[in-house]
Amino acid sequence: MSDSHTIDLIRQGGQPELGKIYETYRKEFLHWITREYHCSEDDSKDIYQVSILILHDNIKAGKLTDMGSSLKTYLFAIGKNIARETIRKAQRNTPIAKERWLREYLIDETEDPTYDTIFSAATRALNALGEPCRRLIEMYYYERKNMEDISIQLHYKNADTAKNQKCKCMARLRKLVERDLTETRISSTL
Amino acid sequence: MNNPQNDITLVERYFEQTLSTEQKEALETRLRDDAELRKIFEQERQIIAAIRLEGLRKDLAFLEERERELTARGREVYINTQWRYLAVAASIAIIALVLFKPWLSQSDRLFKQYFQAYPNVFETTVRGGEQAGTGAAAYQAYEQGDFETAADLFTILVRENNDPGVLLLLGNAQLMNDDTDKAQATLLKLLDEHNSLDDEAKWYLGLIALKEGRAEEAERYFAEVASADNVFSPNATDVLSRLRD
Repeated sequence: MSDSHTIDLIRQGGQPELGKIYETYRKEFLHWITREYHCSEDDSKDIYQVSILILHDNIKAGKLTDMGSSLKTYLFAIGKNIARETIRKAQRNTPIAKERWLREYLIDETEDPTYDTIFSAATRALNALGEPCRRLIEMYYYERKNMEDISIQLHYKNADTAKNQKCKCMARLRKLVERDLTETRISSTL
Repeated sequence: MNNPQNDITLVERYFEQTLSTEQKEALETRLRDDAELRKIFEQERQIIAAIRLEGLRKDLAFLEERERELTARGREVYINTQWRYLAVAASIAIIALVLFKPWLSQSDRLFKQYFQAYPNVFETTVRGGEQAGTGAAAYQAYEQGDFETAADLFTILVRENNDPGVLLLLGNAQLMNDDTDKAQATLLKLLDEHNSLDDEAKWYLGLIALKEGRAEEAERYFAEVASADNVFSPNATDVLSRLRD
């Protein structure tokens, strides 16, 4: 299967396609990362899972439509950066969890620490949001589905209805975040 | 004066990537000086990051489950392969046993029939001091059938005096103790390092080969013993003819 075909499948697909790409490069990647960086079997798998998720997300975001290098080269470059950074941080006795890697991929850690407070509040607010809002905004912002696909999958009348619903869900989420931040500020002053 | 609700909509559209180039540039210009807009913008960015992290978490959980399945499948394949190898090895062993059992049982029978520990005819060759005590005890143990003690004491004697008679008795004591490898090494040492007792050494080496199921080697030793004129020649001829039947 060509890279462009794989990219098309991932952009249109979901977890089944993620599972396929995971299996495609798994053996070669694990062999390579273990040999090059002397990683344990578990660490190699952790690095591979994070690398695949970043590759997958970049494809979804449309960042890899016109690549100068192959999908495999790109994937291995992601893995190389994670392995090097893991080794560098490990020397400072800082264990790196997979979730932390994913968070670092989404948010620059050098940013203002107050943003971290907003992020934590947003995570809590998201859990309080409920369905179908939660699923809708996840499909839009994470899976990068268009409103047409969302309306079909979530049984909305049309793309416009889905878009209106998405705006309402985001407004609700912002309110929940504001409330959480207010409560946090109050509790910290007590 | 900018309406906060309008700014929220503007920021939302910025992250949706539905603003025109001009609208986008205008927003980015305002962000440098408008603290209130920057606050709205950062809050929206963190909310979207939190939504995306939730999605990544779900996919990570999916990959972890996939990995567990693949690892389990890999182990299953490995175990199946191992069982296949074991089954092949077991089949070969059974076939070999069926094919060679008659020969093995015959050679074992012949070994038991013909093997007798060589009599102590060398006692007088050991002389003097400490050796005399150890030697006497060794020969005594050998004659009394205490081959473990005999083997230990003959081993000490051989280190101090590489005597062909002691080597022959040591080899026999080791064979009586069922210590076949050591017996073979001792008798080969006798064969290699001395010019006497060669026929005796070959006879017992032939019996060891017979015991171990090495047919060709056994026949070679017995043929050499049979062709020589010594006390074992008649027995060697007899064993050879029975092996070749």
